[in-house]
Amino acid sequence: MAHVPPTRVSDNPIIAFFQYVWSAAYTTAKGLRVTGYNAMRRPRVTVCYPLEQLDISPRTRARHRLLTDEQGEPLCIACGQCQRTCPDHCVVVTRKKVTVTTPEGEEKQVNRPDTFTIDLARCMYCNLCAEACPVNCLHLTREFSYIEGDVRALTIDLDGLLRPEPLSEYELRQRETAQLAPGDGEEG
Amino acid sequence: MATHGRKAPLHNEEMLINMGPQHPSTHGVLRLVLRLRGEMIESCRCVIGYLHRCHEYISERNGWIRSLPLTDRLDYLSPITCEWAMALAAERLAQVEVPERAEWLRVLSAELYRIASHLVFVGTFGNDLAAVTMFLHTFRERELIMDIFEKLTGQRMTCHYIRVGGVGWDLPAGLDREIRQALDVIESRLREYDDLFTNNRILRARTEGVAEISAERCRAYGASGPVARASGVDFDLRRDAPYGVYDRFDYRVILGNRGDCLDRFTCRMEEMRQSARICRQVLDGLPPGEIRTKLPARFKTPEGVAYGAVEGARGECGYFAIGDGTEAPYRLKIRSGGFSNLHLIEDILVGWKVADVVTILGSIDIVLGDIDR
Amino acid sequence: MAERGWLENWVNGIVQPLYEVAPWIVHLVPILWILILIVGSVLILIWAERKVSADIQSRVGPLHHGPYGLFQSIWDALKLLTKEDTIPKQADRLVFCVAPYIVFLPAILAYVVIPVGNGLIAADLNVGLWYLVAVGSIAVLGIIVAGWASNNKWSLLGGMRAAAQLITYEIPMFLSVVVIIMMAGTLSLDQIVRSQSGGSWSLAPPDAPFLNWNCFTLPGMIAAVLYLVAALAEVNRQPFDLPESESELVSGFNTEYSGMRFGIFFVAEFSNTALVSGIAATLFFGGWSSPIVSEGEGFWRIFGDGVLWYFVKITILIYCMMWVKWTLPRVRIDQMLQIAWKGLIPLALINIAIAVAHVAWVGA
Ligand code: SF4
Ligand code: SF4
Repeated sequence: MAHVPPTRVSDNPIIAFFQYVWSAAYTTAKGLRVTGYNAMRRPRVTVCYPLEQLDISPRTRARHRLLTDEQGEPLCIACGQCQRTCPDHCVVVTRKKVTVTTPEGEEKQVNRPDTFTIDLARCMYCNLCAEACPVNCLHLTREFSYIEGDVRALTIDLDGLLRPEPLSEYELRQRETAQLAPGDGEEG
Repeated sequence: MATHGRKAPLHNEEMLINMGPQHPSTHGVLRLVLRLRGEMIESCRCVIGYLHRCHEYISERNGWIRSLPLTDRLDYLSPITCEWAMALAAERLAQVEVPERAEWLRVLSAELYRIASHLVFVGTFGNDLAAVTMFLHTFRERELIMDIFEKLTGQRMTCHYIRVGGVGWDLPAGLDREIRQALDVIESRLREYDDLFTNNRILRARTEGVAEISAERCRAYGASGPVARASGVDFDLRRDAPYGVYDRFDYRVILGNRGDCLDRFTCRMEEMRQSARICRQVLDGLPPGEIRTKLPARFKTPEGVAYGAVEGARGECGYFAIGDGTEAPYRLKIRSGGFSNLHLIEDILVGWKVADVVTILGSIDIVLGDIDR
Repeated sequence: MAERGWLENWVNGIVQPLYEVAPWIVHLVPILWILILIVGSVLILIWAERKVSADIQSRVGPLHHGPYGLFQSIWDALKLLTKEDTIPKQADRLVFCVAPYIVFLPAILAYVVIPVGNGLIAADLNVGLWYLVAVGSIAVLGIIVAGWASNNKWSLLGGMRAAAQLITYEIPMFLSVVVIIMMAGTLSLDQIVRSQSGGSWSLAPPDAPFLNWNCFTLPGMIAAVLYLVAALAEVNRQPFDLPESESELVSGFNTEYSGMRFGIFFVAEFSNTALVSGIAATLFFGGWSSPIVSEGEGFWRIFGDGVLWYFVKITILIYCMMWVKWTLPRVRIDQMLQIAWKGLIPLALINIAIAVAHVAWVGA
């Protein structure tokens, strides 16, 4: 009911006076009951952030990562799609030709990134670059915390992009409780 | 009041006071120039534009696809609104078909974010009236919806969920159960808010009959959304200009009839319940299928004009676009609900007290990012 | 008359030998006692306010300094001390600097006549209650001049509100106190407490079948409620925190204050809160008198009349004030005046009539 009826009071001023006193006392008591009940409610909603961390969603979009093949070579073919799509113009890719050996043993010339930088200070983590990539090698990882004293240090290069996502505190804790060795099950 | 001798009478002294742009209750960087007589407001002028970011022009340069994530930054309390309006304009211009499932997911996300946005409204309205507990309680409940969006889209506020031709991600497994649980919790907490705040004697005294807006004035100013509906303007784009699949759901358009601050408040409280109802219907009947139409690598809009308008949490959010055959609109004009609603206050503030400024401003529920664009 | 409690004896045990060495030391003791009381209670109250609000709002509150964050307020005080102390250029410097101390003054002055324990009273004035009322009105002066001297429009509005509010609420506050004077027949706070002591929850003798605190008589009960509502307004706490009203007037009268001067305002607010709950406990809830046993045997001695009960009572009262603060929205200035003139004052006057009947029929 959107329309709440106006608070009705009697026409008699004396009765109205006591109605007001009563409604003030009654609604205050009701409010006190709610706050009192909430004071009892456990657990607390907030956590002490740096000490205690909550799980973050697998879809969280933060620092970029380039996926690699088994030899550790980036899968990126330096096509520049991500650079063209980025609304913030924060991706810069340059191309080089390298010779790779395919599993069949042939030598093949492919395009590989020579330099690849992403300015995380300008990035807004919209995921458009990852979606534009034709070989699905650019991903946004869950590593959301990278603090630098200088804004220029937030521009990450190929090395930074190839670095796998470290496990979050939450996952480390989960692993400890699950008695698993850290390091397995890493994925982009 | 009698004047003493030849001195100017005391009650004639006026005070010009700047409320904002740095003020705890102007919800961002709004500046109100108030002329006061004692605590009474003689006149008010609002100055906006402190958050202007040339969104329209950037969109004309960046193109449809690449400016869609920027729309999240307009109405940051309900980003889905602007995303949907822009995608709708592009889809109408280029006649893109949207898959059925995507339409349903859009409704789901929009209604969830409507709840989140109204929760912020209820909380900040409480905060303006110094019921700080309300503020933190509603943010506690909003967190449930933020968590859902984090799981659904990977981002809490700037989610970039709605794309031209569909939505970005499908529901992950198990999320529907979580959404239902969150809705249950929120609905039970809404009853708590009623006890704590809505029915409180002091709140009633502060809001009842304060700044009544007539339906005519709402129409004259082009106000929309809960502000207009609280005044009895029976207008809701979801029903009156259906977009998406809103015609398939069963919900009520909430109307008030006095148009005072209390009506504006309770209208939103009730809209949250209706939105929860829609969300449940979506989860019950979500059709399977694709979530996104494949667009050409370079999505271009043909020549022509299109207007995509959605019912946002703060009224009609519309994108008017002129296409010229390129990747970007030739001209883009944004109509935001908050802009029209805000300018009502120059009229309605007059005659009320300084303390009422925050009540009235709070009851209109502005987001400066949406107004300044 | 009840014997002195164990803590009073202990304090006396320390003071007595000192007194023999240097008689003047006895004058320092009450001053020291009051300062310790105020500073200690304020530090704990600030912490408690945070914990209570955190509880109500599903938060955790301060955690890291000391057990349960108990020393947080000390660190806050240190932070405030190291902050730059800015004085606006156009401000009236002298008044601006003095104002916080004027607000703080009544808390110190008023504790002089409050009996904290049996015999633990700095000066048992025979006009203690008048003194209390007179001294209590000083705080408003500080708030008004703080608002005025800041030369800031928001502060001025806050100061003007404070003037209207505090002067208005003094009336119902005093009218409810009058009832106690009528029933106790004295103005000395010590005598007022003694007139209430002796009873206990148990229906057994010694002297009273039930608690004879003032709040268990009809006029006393009404007066207690009226006094507590007026006291909320008197110390500018929600729902009557209009002079400060953060969401409207930025920060009201103390907008321009920073550093330790702001800290003093903060301390003053809390010490005044402790003060009004202390007065309420003294007048209506039997002060230091125990609700269980007035002088127990053995282990129960701890729960006999004494300082303990005074603190238990003000703790409960302050918790209720905080609870109310974090529950209710703020009223508007005209409504606040209406509540006083149309609500509390008529009720207080009716209550005086009830008290007359009570005194006439039941006896003082
Ligand atoms: S996430 Fe968006 S802003 Fe960031 S680099 Fe990719 S396209 Fe650019
Ligand atoms: S779009 Fe993919 S393949 Fe192309 S340059 Fe970017 S990361 Fe490399």
